[in-house]
Amino acid sequence: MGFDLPFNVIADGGGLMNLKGCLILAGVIFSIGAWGVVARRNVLTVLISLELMLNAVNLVFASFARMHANMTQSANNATAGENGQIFALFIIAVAAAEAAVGLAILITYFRNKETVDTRDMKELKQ
Amino acid sequence: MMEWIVPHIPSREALESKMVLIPLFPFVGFLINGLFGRTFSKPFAGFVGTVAALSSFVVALMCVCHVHDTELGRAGLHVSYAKWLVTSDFSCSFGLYIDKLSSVMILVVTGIGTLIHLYSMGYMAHDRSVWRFFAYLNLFLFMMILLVLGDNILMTFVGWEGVGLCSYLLIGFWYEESKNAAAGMKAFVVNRIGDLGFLMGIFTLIAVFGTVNYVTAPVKGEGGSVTPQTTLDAKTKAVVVPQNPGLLDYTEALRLTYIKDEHSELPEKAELPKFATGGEKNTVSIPMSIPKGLGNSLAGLITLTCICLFIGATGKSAQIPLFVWLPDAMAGPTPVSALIHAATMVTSGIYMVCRLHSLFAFSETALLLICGVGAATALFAALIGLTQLDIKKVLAYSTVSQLGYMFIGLGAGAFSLGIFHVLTHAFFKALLFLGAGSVIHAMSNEQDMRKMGGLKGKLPWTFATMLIGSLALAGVPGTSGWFSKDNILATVLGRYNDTHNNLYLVFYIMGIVAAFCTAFYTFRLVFLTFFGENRSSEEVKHHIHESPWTMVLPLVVLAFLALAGGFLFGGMFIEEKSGGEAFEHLAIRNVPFHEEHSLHEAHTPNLILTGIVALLGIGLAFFRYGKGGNIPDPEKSNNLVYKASFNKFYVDEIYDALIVFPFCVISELLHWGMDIILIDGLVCGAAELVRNGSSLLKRIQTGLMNTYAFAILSGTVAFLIYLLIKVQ
Repeated sequence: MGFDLPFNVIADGGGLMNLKGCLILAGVIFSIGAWGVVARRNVLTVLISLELMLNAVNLVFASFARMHANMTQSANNATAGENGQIFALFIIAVAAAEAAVGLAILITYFRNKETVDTRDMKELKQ
Repeated sequence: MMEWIVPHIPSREALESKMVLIPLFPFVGFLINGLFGRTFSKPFAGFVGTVAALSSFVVALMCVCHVHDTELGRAGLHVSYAKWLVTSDFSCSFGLYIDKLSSVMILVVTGIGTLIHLYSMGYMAHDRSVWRFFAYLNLFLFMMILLVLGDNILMTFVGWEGVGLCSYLLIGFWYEESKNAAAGMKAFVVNRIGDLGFLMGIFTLIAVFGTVNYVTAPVKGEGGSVTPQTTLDAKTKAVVVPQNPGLLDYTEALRLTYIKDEHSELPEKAELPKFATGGEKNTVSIPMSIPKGLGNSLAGLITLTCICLFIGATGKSAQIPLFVWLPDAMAGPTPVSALIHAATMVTSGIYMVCRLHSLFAFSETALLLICGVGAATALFAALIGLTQLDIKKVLAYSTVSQLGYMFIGLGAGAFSLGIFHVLTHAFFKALLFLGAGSVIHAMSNEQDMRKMGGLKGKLPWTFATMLIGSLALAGVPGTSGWFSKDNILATVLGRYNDTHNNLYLVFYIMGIVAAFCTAFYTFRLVFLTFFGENRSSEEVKHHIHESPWTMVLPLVVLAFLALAGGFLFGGMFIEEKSGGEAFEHLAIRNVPFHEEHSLHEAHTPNLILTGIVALLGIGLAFFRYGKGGNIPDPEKSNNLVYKASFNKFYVDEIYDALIVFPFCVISELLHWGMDIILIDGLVCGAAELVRNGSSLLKRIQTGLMNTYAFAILSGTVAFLIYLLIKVQ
């Protein structure tokens, strides 16, 4: 692959953490989420799976932010890695909003149709 | 009588403002009957139609009195109502124009039209849809008036097509029988073929002269002029044409420029000269040129135009080769046969040629062709008429034959005599048809002469008037038919004396033979119908009755005209010497003779000959059919000539085999090859493609959220993979 990542430079209090491990973990979580979205029929599960995907992304952001901070430590750069952390915070906020709206819609839907199965939600097809 | 009439004629301005009423009355009659006729009682619908025709006749009569009065000036009545087609170098308008020539026609159209409307009130009294009949008749009258009074050839063409339409509607009036509908269709299609020639003629006229107007447009306050306003300047010998000259102005200018007295043809190298216009600045030249690609011989172009126009005339006026529709047109009600297919519409071809006679006079070739076609038609139709059994068929072929005589007259250069024969023929043929209608009416719609006979005692009025009509048709000296036909034949013989062209002699002999046949078949009809024993069934015999007064009155009027028409009107048309009466009364300049005495020498032998053949024909008819008992039966006859004549010389069959059948085969082929396979294939194929494509695509829309999510995911993944590969 084309990326030459410095996998051994994430330092935490002097000890090295494995960036590779973080990314693999994030990939696994993301995949589980994606699988949940595609394969599960319960909308509630789908929403949970969506959260998993978002958090996997958060993990990636956080890991790379940490990596950047370490790499520029010697240059005494106080704001290094800040962007990634801000993005992660943004995503948490947006995900909270999305979950609130999504769940509200779901509850209303359930009250009307008494179902949360995606197979029954085909009104737009007609 | 004129002394009383003249002071009562309205002024020119008053007449010009009322002229529009001539076509308007029949049109309003058509609208009233056409829109509300369904609710009218039968006599009232007939009344509306007849009054419309009569009112039109009265207005026309006033206008004609004005035009023919010498005191009131030579100017005709000419009004332009609105612009019609306007381009940068061509324009034409809606205009009405009565000159001396059209005044004859307009009187025939509205006058005989009125009589026939009156007659129809009686004849059609028992029909289901009287109102429809009178609506059509009035529409026909309107179109015919447009044809006659239009001040440009496009208006004439509109009327020309309009009368064709009415003819179609009226032939198929009893459309429940498919035979009648087919006859209407045949008339329409055959006329279309002729109309193509007419259109070509109009296009050539526009190409060469750049105008379709007959004469220059009317000047406000002064009106138009009957005669072309082109003049020869006495001092400078220059030809002066008016502003915006019409076709007749141009032909007059050409005549003054090129034609010396003894010639009737344009010189081979004639060009369109540049003329000076009238008015104060009289040296403005008119840019008149032959377009490139049309050759450069003006004489040739004029011949071409004349032949094209004549092809149009052969369609409408039922000449060889397009005469086949007229005998079939007898499927219509009898008044229609009388009005449209004998008296007025079929003569429109002759009128059109006379309208442009000054153009035709330039082309000896075209005139010879017209004369030949006329002679052939006259003889051919007369031969067929000899053996027909249907009383209306006999009259139909006789009409074709008489129209042939009119064209003989035109072709011999005696345009005024052609119009004269139109007039006399309108009298006696309308009379004969109406008489035949009266017979058919009395015989409970029987048309076969074998089942008639002995009617002279039971239908005295019909018999007496039809006898007069038959004498006129046979050309017995003294009757109107004799005046016109004898003079036409004399002109042909005179042409032969004059030019020694043997063709004229051939045409003359054909005309004489046709005259003999005419006399024979006419009196065969009279003897079979009115003499001998009545051969109908008892039930029909019981119903035989003389017709009501509405039917008898027109017969009497027409019989008077058929008998005396020659004496009353002959002086207007028959010329003692070239450029005499015809020009004075009709503004028609017949083609002059090289030597004036050629015509005079022809008169006496022709008079003897026509008299002899007429009496001979009548005598032979009397000999064969006069005593009764000798009833023709074509089925038993073994005579080949007789059989051929009875079967109309198989013209219809030949046309069927040569034209109609191949045409149908090709149409069928094209229908399958082009229409169904190619065009339908393309159109339906495109629709089919879209439908099949979308029915495939619609499966993507499952409505299942998970599928969409999967699609988004796989799309993103695919895009990422693509990016990775690209980066490497």
